[in-house]
Amino acid sequence: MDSQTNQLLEKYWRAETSPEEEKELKILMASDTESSACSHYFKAVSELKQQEPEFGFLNPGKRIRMMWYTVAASVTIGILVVSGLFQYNYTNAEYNVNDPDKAFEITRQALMMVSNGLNEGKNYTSVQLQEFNKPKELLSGNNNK
Amino acid sequence: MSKELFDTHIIPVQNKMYRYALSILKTPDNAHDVVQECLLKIWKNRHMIATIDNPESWAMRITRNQCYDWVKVNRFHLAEMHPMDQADTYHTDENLLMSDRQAWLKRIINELPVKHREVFHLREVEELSYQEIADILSLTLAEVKISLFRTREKIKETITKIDAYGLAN
Repeated sequence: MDSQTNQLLEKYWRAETSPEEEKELKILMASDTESSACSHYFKAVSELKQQEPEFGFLNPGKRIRMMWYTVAASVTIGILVVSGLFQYNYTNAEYNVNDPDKAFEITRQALMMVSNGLNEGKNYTSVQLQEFNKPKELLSGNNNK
Repeated sequence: MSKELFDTHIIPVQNKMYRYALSILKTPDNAHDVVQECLLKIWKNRHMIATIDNPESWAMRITRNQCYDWVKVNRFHLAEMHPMDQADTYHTDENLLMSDRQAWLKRIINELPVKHREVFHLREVEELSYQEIADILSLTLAEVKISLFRTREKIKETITKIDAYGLAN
């Protein structure tokens, strides 16, 4: 340790150093290669200065701003959902029939369409079944002979 | 306007506030919670920042008051807690050495009276001026100087003993 450091150190222990002198002394002691209790002390102090929280702090201002963004986003989503539902109901309203006679007629036509389709299938199936029965009849005829 | 003042004057000192709270409360989680509460409190009174000469000292004083309020409310809980012990997190030789140094310094600091301990932290760790320390702790300038002198005298005495006999006490 040189004389300048020693002088500063003595002044430091007497609590007569200015903040600038203390900073200078801390730099000098940090570069000190001697493993004395004094250099350990200054190193320990500088380590205390490096303590930081494990998790950062929430900025209350940003948190409140975030809250407003959340409110704005919720309102926008709400408006979109309501307008979507309104549009959906409006589109469906075009197909609504309020007159019971007209509704009956539409239902009857729809059912007719379904039943016609079913009958077509039935006819087609019966023709196929007749074809399928032919060999059976032929075989049974042979057996009878 | 006050929002900008909060961001420029208070946010940069939040780690200082944390270290100060940690030096009083000893446990990182409690120190973190207290500082978060302080930030919220300061945010609610952010209109005052423009009227205050030294917002940093003001924030530190709020931190101190909040810490002692916390101690008052949790004094029974506090008695059951152990001081911060980070030994498990240190593995390398350098970290072990750092851990030893920290433990040694903490033992010296913990032997000091509370007022001396706070003056020591604000001067040595946070490098505040005598006037700022006096403002935060509501002391006179002379009291701060005497407190710091006695603390350093005690530390020098301990260091001399260690160098002479290799003893920490």
